[in-house]
Amino acid sequence: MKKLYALVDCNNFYASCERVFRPHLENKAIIVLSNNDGCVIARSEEAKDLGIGMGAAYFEIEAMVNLYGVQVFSSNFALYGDLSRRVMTVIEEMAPKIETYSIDESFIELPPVKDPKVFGHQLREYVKQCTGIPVSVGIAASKTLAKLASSHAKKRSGVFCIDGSNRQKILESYGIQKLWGIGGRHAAKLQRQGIVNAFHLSQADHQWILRHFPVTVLRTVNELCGISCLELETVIPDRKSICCSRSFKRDLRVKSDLEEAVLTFAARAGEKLRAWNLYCGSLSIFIQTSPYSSRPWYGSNVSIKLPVATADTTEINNYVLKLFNSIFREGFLYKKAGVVLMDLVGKEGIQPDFFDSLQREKRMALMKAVDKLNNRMGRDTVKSLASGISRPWATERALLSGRYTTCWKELASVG
Amino acid sequence: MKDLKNSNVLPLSLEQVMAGFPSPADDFLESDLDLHEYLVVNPPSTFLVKVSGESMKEAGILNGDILVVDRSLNFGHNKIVIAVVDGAMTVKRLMKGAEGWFLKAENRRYPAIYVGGKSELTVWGVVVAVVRKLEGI
Repeated sequence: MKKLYALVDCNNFYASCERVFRPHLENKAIIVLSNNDGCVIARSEEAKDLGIGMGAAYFEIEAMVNLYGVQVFSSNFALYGDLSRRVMTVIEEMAPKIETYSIDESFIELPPVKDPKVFGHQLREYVKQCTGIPVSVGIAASKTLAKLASSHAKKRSGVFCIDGSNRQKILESYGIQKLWGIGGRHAAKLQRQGIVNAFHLSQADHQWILRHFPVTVLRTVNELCGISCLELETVIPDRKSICCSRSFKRDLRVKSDLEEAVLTFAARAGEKLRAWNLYCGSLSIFIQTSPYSSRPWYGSNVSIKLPVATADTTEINNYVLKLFNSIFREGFLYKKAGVVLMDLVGKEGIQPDFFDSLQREKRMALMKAVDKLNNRMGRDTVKSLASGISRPWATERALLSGRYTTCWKELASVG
Repeated sequence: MKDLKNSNVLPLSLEQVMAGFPSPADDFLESDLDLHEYLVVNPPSTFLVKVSGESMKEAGILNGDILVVDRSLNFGHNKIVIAVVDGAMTVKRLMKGAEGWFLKAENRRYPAIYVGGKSELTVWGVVVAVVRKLEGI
């Protein structure tokens, strides 16, 4: 029998997480705000129906929130992360071949079943029963089609299969620019050739595609025809850069405060870099004032190419400090800053520099030891003194719900 | 008390008390007894909640107790469950009577909750264990 794939996608994941321990929020409009309570990062279906947009600034919708009694939450990643892990484990019980694609999506290979649709419904009900999280299941012969099917599943009964009978109609309704695996640049080029929807692309001449596009586009063509080219493990998430940035709960004027913030972001980004066993070949930083304020605006970003790719926080810090000093201007109220690590390579991709004087192996061992301690004992057990102790810029999360699954003091209470 | 602790009168309970502390005997243990493993059979679907109130007193569930709740288990007659009534989570005994399901408190001062009319009942999960630390310890 031909292999079938499914994308299992949690519906409005963060909003659904907030409902698990607060069942009275069922059928109520919910929004979840970003790290600093600045803008909307998740909406329940009811909130979408009110017209609240993804990414909307909170102060712009506050009046509507009050008018309709929308429930507002700060992002509670301790809860979302734990529930995500639970959802994935439960899915794995029913479908052992699984690839966790993001915090709220996973691809599975369907086990041999008589009726894929029935299996989809069983999976959906089981995940909902065990974790309280509603999911949609899109089923098809390739991962690309499964992804399309899942967006249809959401609008219907939660399960949708693409097969020979409906494939053409669905592909025709899908614009090329929205297609998974086709970047904006390729989409524009395809559109100029009259290939405007997914069905057109599935019919494209293979030789022509190969002449004008990278092989990944040909893979998508095949996938759209139901010929699976992407095995579960072959899709590696995009790790071209690592960004760590935040808006501050209150504006920062003092140079040392902003400097602390930037160095802390550098340390976080460095942790991620080492967790993925990658090294960065260049980095950039940015600082800016609020675009909504009536005060004069200032923002700048600057980047630097490193002589040797590194994953060493002390080395990254040195560069970040230099860049920071070159763009900081006194007299502004800074609202946001960030650090981006780019040109990521694995160990084998490092080009050694003849004049390099750093003891890279030793310093890397030290960094890994620090990461291990911080992982085990809690974040920032060991940190660079430069990243500050009081942290006046730390994020605001005024509307945080309980960490019901990860903190003894915050368990849900039952009467 | 001290004598008892240093004697070998109760070897079984001594082993249990010692579990988890570093001791020369550790080398001979296969592994420590893990209470979590004992209480939590289905980790991804098991959640902990805290009891507030006295409504289940006679079933040995007291104010402040931590309940181990498994959502993967099917509910049934006579099981203690976390139910959702009108949007609020409550711990009660689920019963099936002549007129359908209802929730029974294990405390004579609390009335049973019959579902019907405008109220709606959902079972959130089945209670599988009660955890309580003794006072003054």
